[in-house]
Amino acid sequence: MVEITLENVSKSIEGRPIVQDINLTIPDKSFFCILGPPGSGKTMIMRLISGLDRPDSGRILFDGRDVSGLEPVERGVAVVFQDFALYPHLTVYENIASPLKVKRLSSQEIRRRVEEVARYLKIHHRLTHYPSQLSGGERQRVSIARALVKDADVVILDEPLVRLDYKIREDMRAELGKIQKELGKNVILITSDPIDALSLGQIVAIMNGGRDIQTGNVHELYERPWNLFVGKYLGVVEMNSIEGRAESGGGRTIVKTRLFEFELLGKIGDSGVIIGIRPEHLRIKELGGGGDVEFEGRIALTEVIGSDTIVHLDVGEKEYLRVFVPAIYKKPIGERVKVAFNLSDLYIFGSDERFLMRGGEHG
Amino acid sequence: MVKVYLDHVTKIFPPRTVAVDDVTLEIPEGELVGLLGPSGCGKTTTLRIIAGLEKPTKGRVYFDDEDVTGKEPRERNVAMVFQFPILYPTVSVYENIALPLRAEKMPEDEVRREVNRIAELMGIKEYLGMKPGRLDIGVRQKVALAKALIRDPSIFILDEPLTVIDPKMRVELRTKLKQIQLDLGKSMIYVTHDQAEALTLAERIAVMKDGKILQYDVPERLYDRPSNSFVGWFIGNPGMNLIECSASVEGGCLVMTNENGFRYSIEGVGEIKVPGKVVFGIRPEYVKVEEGGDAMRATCIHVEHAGNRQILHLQFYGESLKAKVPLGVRVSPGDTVPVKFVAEKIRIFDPSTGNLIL
Repeated sequence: MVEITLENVSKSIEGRPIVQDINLTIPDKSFFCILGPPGSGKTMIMRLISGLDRPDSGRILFDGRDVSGLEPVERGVAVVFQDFALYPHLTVYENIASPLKVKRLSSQEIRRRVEEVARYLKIHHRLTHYPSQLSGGERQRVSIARALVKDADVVILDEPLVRLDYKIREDMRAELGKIQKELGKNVILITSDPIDALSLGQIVAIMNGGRDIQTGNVHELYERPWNLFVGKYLGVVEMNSIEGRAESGGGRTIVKTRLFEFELLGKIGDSGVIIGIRPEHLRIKELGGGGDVEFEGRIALTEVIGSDTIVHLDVGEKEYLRVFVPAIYKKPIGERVKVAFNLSDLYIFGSDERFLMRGGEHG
Repeated sequence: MVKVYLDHVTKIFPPRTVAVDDVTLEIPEGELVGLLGPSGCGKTTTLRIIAGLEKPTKGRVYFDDEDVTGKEPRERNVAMVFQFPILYPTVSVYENIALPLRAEKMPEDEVRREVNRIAELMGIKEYLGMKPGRLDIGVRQKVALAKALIRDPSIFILDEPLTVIDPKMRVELRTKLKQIQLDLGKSMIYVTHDQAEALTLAERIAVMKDGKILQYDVPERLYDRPSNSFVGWFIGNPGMNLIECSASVEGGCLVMTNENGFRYSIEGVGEIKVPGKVVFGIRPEYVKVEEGGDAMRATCIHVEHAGNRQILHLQFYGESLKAKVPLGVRVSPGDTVPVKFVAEKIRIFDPSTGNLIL
C-alpha cells in the first residue's frame, strides 16, 4: 500500500512549462481526485506518477522511497486511459490477459485471474467477444479490468467517463466508488468534470494553469473555496459573481452592487468585493421561493436539463445570472421574474478574488 | 412555412437493418420539434428522410398537402445545419453567407443588406471580413446558421448542431436559436441525443428507440407521465428507477412483490388487468428517505453530491434504487435508511413492451 508524494516537481515540454513546482500528497487507500480545466497540467501529473514521463526537477516518492528513476512497470501503477486503448484484434479475454502475459504467469493462473476480475466487473459473458462488439460502457469495464488484473497498488483513471454517454455515466460513477472501497486500492481519478469530483472524490486537488494546486476535502471546498476560481469551478452549475463595494460607517458595513445592497455582518474595510451566489441558492419568487434580498431580471433562456432547469437571467449590461430550479420550469424569453436569496448563502471574495467569508459569518 | 407529415414511414438498409420502423409524425407549422434518442435509434435517418437525403422504403412524406416523397432535397427548400459547420474555407464569412442569395441572382445592394441583417441577428458582424478557418468552431456554427437562415427555407433541419460547441457558447447559441425560432416562427426539426438540448428548445419531443417513436409529447408530460419505461429512464438526471416485480390484483388492490422481500400495494385500482410481472417506476425525486409507519429499508452504497441535493445509490430488496434528497439528510455508505415513495408519482409499466399500465 502506498502513499504518494510529489516534491517540488516541474516538467517542461519543448521549453514550455507544463507543471511548475508542484507539491502534493496522495494518502494511502484513498479515492483521490485531481480536477482541473483542460491545459491545467493534470494529465502530466498522471504521466509523472505512473512513470510515463520523468520530472525535470523535484522528486516523486512512494512511501518515502524515491521512484523518479523507475520505469512504469517497476512502480506498480496501472493506468486506465480515456480512449480505453483496447487491442481491436484481440478478444476481451486476451485484452484483459495482456498485462499478465509479460509477467510469465502460468496459463491456469492467468485464466483464474482474468475470470475473477471479469466476473467482478460483470463482463465475464463477453470474454470471447471483440471490443467492436461491445457498448461504450462495456469497453470501459474491459479497460478497467485490464488495469485491475495486474493487482497494482495504484490505479489511475484518466478522464474515464468523458467518452461515455451521459446515461451510462450516471451509474459508472457509483461503480467506480464501489470498486475503490471494495478493493482498498489507491485510486486516482483525473478529470475536468467537477461533477466527478463532487460525487466521487473524498479529497480533491484542484489545478489551475500548471502551477497552482491545492488540496482539500471536496465538501469543505464547496462551502469554503480558497478563491473565486475554485468557487466557480467546483459546482454543479457555475457560481454567479457580481462586483460590488463594501463601505463601512457607524459600525456597519454595507455592500452595494449594481443589483442589490445588504449589510454584511463581517468586518472588511472600504474596498471592492466580489459577491458569489451559487445558482442553487437563488430562488424564483413566483415558485414560492423567498429570501433576505430580492432583485429582478428578464428570462434569457430556461434551459431544462432533465429533471431540473437552469434559468439564464438577463440582468442588463450584458450580464447573465444562472438560477437553478429543481423542476421543469418553462417561461417565455423576455419575461420579468423576481428572485431572492439568503445572506448566509453568499460567498464574499476580495477584489483579488481571494475568499474572505460567507455572508452569514461575523468574520 | 410548412407542416410536415410522415405517414407510416419505414426505412430498411439492405440486407435487413430496420433504421426507421413505421413512423407517423406530424410537425405543425412554425413549431420547434425535437427528435431525441440514443445513438442508433433512427432519429438521424428520420431527419434525412424529411430532408430528402434518403428515400423511405415504405410510407409517404408530405409538406402541407403535397406529397414530396419523390422530390430531391433542393426541390423541398430545406435548410440543414450539421454537427460540424460546413463552410467554404477559402472565401470570407460574408461571401459564405451571401452564397445562397448569389445563386438566386439577387442584386448586390440587396445581398449586402440581407447579409448585414442576418449577421446582426446572429451577432457575427465583426467576423464578416474573415475567413472561416481562423474562427472558433462556435463562431463557425453561427455562420452556418446564418447561411441557413438567409435562404428563407420552408423548414429548418438541425442535426446535433451544438454537440461539439463548448458549454459556454452552447448556452448562448441555444438562446439565439430559441429566440430566432420565436421571432421568425420557423418550423424547425432538431435532432439530438442530449435531453437538455431537446427539453430546452423543443415545444414537443418525439423520443425514439429502435426505429420507433415511443412518445411524442410536451416536456412536462414526458417527465411526469412517460408512456414507456424507456422514456422514464431516458428523461431525467438521473432517470426513473425501474424495478421488475410480480404482480396481482386482489379486490381492487394491486400488490407487487419480488423474491427478495419487496412488497408494495396500490389501493383502488379497480378491475384492471395486469400481466404476472410488472415494472414499478419511481423518479429519484420522489423517493423519500424518511421514517414513518410504512417505511421500507434500504442500504446505502454510495452518496453523490449534486449541488444543494445529494443522490443516494441504494441497495433495495436486491435492486438498485436512487434517491434525490436534500443535503440535510445525513447518510453514509453502509447505513441502513428508511425509504418511502410519493404514491401519486408511482408509474407501472408492462415489462414485455415497456408500455405504461398505470
